[in-house]
Amino acid sequence: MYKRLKYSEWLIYYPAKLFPALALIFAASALLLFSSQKAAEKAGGTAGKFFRLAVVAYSDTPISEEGRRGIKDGLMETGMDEKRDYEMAEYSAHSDAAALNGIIDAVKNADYDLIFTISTPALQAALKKIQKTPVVFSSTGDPIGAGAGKSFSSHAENVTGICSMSDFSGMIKLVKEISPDVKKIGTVFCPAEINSVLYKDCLKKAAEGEGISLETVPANSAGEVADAANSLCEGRGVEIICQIADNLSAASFPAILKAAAAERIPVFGFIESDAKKGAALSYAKDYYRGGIDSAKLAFRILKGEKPAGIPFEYISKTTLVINKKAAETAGIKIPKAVADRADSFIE
Amino acid sequence: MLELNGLNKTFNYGTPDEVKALSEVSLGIASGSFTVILGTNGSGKSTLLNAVAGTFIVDSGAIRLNGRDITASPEHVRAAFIGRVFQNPFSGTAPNMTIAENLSIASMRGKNRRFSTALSGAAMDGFYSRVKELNMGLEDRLENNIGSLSGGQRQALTLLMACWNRPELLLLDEHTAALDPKTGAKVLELTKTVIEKDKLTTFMVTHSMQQAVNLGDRIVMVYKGKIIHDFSGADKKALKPKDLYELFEDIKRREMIDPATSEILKANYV
Amino acid sequence: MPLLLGTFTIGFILSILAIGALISFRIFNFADITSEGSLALGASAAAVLIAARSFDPFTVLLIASAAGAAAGAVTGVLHTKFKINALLAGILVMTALYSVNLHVMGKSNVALMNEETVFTFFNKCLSISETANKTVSVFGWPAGAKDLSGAALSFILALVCGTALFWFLRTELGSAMRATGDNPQMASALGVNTDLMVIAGLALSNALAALSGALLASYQGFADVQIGIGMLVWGLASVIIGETLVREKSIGLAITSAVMGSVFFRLLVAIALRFGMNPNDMKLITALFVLMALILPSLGRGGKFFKKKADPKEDAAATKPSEIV
Ligand SMILES: Nc1ncnc2c1ncn2[C@@H]1O[C@H](COP(=O)(O)OP(=O)(O)OP(=O)(O)O)[C@@H](O)[C@H]1O
Ligand SMILES: [Mg+2]
Repeated sequence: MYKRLKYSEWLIYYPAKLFPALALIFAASALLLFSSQKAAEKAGGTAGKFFRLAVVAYSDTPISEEGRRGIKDGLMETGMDEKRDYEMAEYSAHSDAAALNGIIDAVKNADYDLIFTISTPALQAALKKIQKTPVVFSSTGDPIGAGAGKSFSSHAENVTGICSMSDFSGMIKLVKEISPDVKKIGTVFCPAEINSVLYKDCLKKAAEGEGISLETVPANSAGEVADAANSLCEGRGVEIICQIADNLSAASFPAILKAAAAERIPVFGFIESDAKKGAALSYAKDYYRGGIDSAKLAFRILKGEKPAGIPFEYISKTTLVINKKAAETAGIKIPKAVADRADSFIE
Repeated sequence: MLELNGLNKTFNYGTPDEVKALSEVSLGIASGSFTVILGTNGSGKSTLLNAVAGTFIVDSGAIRLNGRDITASPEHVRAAFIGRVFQNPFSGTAPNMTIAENLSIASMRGKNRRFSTALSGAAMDGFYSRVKELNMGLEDRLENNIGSLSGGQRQALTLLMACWNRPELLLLDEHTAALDPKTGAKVLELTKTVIEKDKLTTFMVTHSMQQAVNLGDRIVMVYKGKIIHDFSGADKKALKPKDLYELFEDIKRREMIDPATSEILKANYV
Repeated sequence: MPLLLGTFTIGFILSILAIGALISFRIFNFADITSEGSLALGASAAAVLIAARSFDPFTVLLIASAAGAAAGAVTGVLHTKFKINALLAGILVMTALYSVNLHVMGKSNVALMNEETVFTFFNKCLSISETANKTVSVFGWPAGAKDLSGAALSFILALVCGTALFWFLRTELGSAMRATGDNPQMASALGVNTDLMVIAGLALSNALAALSGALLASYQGFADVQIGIGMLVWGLASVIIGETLVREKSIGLAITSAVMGSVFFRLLVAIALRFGMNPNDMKLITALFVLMALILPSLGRGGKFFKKKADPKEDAAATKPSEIV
């Protein structure tokens, strides 16, 4: 007969083995619990004229950096001074869903006065967990689809923000003005980004309304953008590239410019800095602007308005920047009517 | 009854490393017989055993075991009928599993593995009593990892595992060669006992003349993938280690001469 | 308290991924990156099914796991039947799953705001209201009832998965699977269909990853096609940290330690976040945690803290008898 360990012996054996791990987890939990308790108390003490703000971004891309910059500049425009009137903690989840949840928990726990979210997943994670603290979103193309509310005016009570939809029909009008005979425009888009797909569809709708067809090529990673752009420019009869604004193309914009230059196709961008980078023009309601606008909404909330009473807004201002040299190289003439409307030029 | 019919196997076909490891090997082995295979290094003994066990599928020829054609069956299917012990004591057991778990896997050889507990109380008692027969004191260490045992202990267990459910054929590939003489002798003794008790059909590779003479009822000598000698019955009984040495010397001489003669022929005719 | 409970919830949810990783990493000795795709697949499938409202939330979890199992089986088949390097097979399937997930969702992100998930279902069972933010007192600390039930449910699910895996690995099939990873030659010689075991094992591992993804989507209220990125590393980190904490490799303890490793790891990250770490340093710091877990045990090995492992080479070098030709 084989003698096994008795159950009573297991009862000693297992806990003994697990004890160090349990002790460590317990210690870490206690540390977290006590430290977060202190944070909450501290927050309670300083709440007054001085505001504690947080920015939560999902990924590290030019777009979320632009958004962050916009928020800071926007707060400055409202007359608030960092250090004197507010402090702002910045968080990024580095595209890691588990980290995003941890950040939202940490932010919720630290009792900030207001939370900015940048990009759709950041808003979604906040929606699920944050019920009291005001949340102001930006860099989100479709807040309704993301679950922030039923409509722009009827939405989650503590949430409001800026819908970062570009002005697609305005862009198509520009295209018509600049080259009236254009039949086909194109863009690279990223199937993995919810905003990118949305913008692509909106651009298509706007273009088709004017009898222009839209050619699209998907790219899923930075490495694929150059190939996608080449494929878009060659042999498809695309006359103008109207590059929609998404994380992927923003990060790899030079690759698109290069492919277009090789075929002498002009590039129109939806991000203000596109023109500076070498696009013929940019017609932007961009993420930087979105950041500025969201900072203004935040200011209203900090001054006492309820987020529930503030409808979601589109980005307020559209900026037209023309890059004369790039336009010339691509072989297009900017009509005077358009040039007169430009906010600035790049020589 | 194991029948091998015209087995051929070439490794790395069509490359500079091409080796014809088995060529037209035919052999019939009666049930209950004990055959010893001898041969120099690289002569194809292991390859022959592997061909039977199904480590690879032969290029041509047929293998039948007790009437079943197993030429094309995969290794794990043949394993239902075949027990094996390898030369390397570490090949036959799973080091990071306990003795009991290893035995339980062996005890399911040729049966349907199911979702029932591998180490039930009854199974443990069974393992205990059979391991006890080894007289190695391992029966009290059933819940230790096999990796903590010595090579000899592991080889004894591998043997026990190979024969747990009586196999129709037992393949032993120099299974004592990596052990020290004393342990080797012990494992060999154990092998004899098991084979005699269960009247197992056995196929054993060895380099030891003494073992070849002492054990078994048939000696097959392999050279360059071919069977060159086959002694059984009275011939086998009459063999002395010295006779076998001479046969080996013969092979060696042939190996020495062959390249030399070809050189002479070349010099004369080319 | 909500921070702690949230950390535990994510820790338990990802511990299911970690015990899945334990199968590929510790049984079959390779890091199966398919899990990242499977996790996203589980999340996508769950989100779409929950939004469609045609199944109850637990059935959704089962379907999501089955989808993950299928993905793992594909990797297994590529590896065993087509002899593709295991890492490469995993990468191939993970890459392919990216497109599959986009198809499953029809877009890159599905939001689940007021849908019934396992978490809301569990709240309903405990009659906790979704809208009223009731708090209860835990040892004198105020805790949100919803946070508490979320942590409890994820703990229960991790416990169920861990126990089920523990039970399975001790069955005849489960031990055959372990033997396949430990010594395929032996397993095969004892009649184990090793190819099938690898395929089944990877299917199981990825089913757990997908379940973890489905829970993550249910918990955070959305699925995103990028949700799986970097997850395998965290799963493996949990396994390694757990092993360092527990230092014993019997099955039960290995599974328990993976779960504990996952929770501990999330706690460390939460503490780092809590103390205002620069966000750009987050990945660096988490990598340092894992590195610490890897080197700490080897620092202690100089002493007699650890049982010496048998050295195979010592025994193998035994001499041959002199009579051998
Ligand atoms: N898998 C393989 N791939 C290529 N060549 C092989 C393979 N297995 C065996 N060989 C070759 O086949 C020949 C026979 O090898 P085998 O292992 O059968 O010899 P052996 O008689 O067992 O020798 P030893 O006494 O050294 O064990 C050798 O030349 C060997 O190099
Ligand atoms: Mg050999």
